[in-house]
Amino acid sequence: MRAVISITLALLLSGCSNLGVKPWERGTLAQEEMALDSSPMQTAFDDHIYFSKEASSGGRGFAGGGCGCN
Amino acid sequence: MLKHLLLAFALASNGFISGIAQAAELDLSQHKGKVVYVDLWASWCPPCRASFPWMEQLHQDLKDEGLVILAVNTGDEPADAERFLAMTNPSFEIITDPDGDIAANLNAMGMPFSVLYDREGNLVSSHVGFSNKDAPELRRVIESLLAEKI
Repeated sequence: MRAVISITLALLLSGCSNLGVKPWERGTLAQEEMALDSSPMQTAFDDHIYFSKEASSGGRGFAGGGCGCN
Repeated sequence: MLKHLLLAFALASNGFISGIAQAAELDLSQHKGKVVYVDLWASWCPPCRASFPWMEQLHQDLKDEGLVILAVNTGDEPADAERFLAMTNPSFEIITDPDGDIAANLNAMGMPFSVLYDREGNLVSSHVGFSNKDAPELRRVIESLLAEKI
């Protein structure tokens, strides 16, 4: 019983050791249809309107993503 | 209790439980005495594709000086990689690493990921990404390594 509990605890300890997608596993994520933004041009227009009305910009998304390059 | 816990933890940390296979290694022994530039790439990665003309030029210019370029295709669909290679037709060596074992072993932090070894097989530098801005400096480092004779 103790052994079972010990092994279960050890399994739980290593449970979070392999989270995340490695850079070389991002082939599917890098496809165009996986982009969070389906229309970059429309988003650019919206950003411009937002900036002109609010006098601030940014905060819409985050840099990087995709293939993880640079 | 403690003994069991330690044993289980040791097994887990060695990858027996999580099922991690032994990472494959690049065989650099056949390139002894040469400067080796290893480049991890995939056809779905735009900077990887952008680096190919630069690597081709580098190979054409410096292969006689002792430069070996190993382009490791990792995490890619074989058909996509073949289509890209048919278009670019590189003269340097292409290695396939479908499961990413070599990439994991080199601890690639992004794509493309390049590693440079000197003539004695020592790891000199590693680099994430590719941009035409950094390329001349990288070439300068490679040329300085080629200038070193054993």
